[in-house]
Amino acid sequence: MNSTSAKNLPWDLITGSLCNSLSAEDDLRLRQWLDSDPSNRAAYDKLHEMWDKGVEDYNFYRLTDENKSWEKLRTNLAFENNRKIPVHKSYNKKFLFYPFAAVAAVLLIVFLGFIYISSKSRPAEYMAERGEQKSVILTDGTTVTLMQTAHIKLLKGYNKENRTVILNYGRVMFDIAQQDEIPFLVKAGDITVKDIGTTFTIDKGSDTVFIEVASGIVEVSNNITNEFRKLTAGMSLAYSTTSQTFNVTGIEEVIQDPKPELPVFINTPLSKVATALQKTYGKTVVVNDSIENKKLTAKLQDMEFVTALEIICESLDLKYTITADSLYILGKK
Amino acid sequence: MDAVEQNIWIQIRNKNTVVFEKFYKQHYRAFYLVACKYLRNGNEAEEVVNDVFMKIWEDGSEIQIDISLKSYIYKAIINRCLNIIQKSKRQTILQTGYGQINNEAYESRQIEENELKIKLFNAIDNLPEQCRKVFMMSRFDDMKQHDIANQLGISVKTVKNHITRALKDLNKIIEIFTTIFLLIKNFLTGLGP
Repeated sequence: MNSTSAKNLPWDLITGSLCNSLSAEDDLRLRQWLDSDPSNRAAYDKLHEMWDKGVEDYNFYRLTDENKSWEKLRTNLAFENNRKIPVHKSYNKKFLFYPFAAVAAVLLIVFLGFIYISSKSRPAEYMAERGEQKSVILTDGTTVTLMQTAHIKLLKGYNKENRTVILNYGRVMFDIAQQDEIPFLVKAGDITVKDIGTTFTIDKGSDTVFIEVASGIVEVSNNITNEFRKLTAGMSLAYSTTSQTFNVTGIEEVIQDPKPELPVFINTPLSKVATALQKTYGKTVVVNDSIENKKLTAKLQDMEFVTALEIICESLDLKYTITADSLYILGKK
Repeated sequence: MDAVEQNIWIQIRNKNTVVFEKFYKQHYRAFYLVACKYLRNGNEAEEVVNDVFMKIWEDGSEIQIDISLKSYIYKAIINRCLNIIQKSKRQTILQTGYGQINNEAYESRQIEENELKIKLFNAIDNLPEQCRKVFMMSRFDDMKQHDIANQLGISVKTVKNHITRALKDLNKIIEIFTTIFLLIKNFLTGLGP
């Protein structure tokens, strides 16, 4: 029996090793397996080579298109073929050129006119092919970067009556040009994202919408439940179309304010709340493991440290203790 | 040259554009990948492949192909790539490593390795959508499993399962070709000094 057939491979360990996500314990288990039989090492090395080198050119592969390359070749071939077409000796080549040029010019003008009229009447759409990343600058100066297979449409009257983009599918990054007269909106299924001077990314899949804010502020509203959330730099939101719920992570960072101030907490894990308390007040707050993932929603600005801590404990039914070396430990009551 | 290839070559020499287009599109990606391997630049690789195809179209009647049309094209592409590298004087290691292609067995191995790559890439293309997405994010975007899980709204366990599924599918492809590679390796060892 072949001990290294695919069925016998420790796939969980191999996957973890290739993704550099093995714990120390699992790493030891993998090494023990590798050392137990030379054929195990051979099988692993084969997979490692495939992961490392075997698929490294896939990016080239997925970015190419034989049909587009053929069109380029065909154009060159057609040019080459035309040069070989014999011209009747009694015609002067120069004499033939002008009528063709005139016809070509008229056709070009008609074509450009058609494009212009079409662009006026039909809302603009942009789509990135598979393996392609496309950047577009809209008429208001907003830069939109579409990741592969992303598809957006501009609402009719963009940059005149509105600045609304409809995100049909995929991951798109927006770098919004400031314009106070017309707000910038992105509609992604059930939700609308309103920009308040930002750079943010939206990823719309079949049943989730994920929003990540790099700078500035956005307001995200649910068109069905009228619920809304405000996201600042470093915050992200996941919306499930199935449950129609928001899940916000991250804490607001107020960079411009010279005095450190507690951020607004919205579903923020206690571990991150502790970090924010330490940063603002300079006090070390330790959160017990059992309550690390408890989430806090509260506005605690302009408060004394102890008051803020007491409100946190009251909200989440916790208590705090102070150690001899001034550590504040949060734990269950 | 086998009968099918011989017929294709005759048609191309007789300027049959339909056959030429079909042959081009069928094999373009394999030729393109070989060029990419040397040049590491997609646009340059496309240009090299198209230049070679233009050459065989224009000068077909003057070209003598003894072994195989595909091998001839591979060799032409590789030699053009090496000329480009030599002219630009970049990647000295690459130049030293590959040298001039005169060894038929080496060419044969290059073609086989390329064919395996195509099979692997097709297998990636054929993965279920979510599985392929996770695999791409892990392998090509260098994302941690935890970050992939957060971004896609799935569990870390599911991420691991998707990557494992992808690895298993790709492993199947490798196993099919391993025997062929071993045979070629043994043959090449026999040719050595």
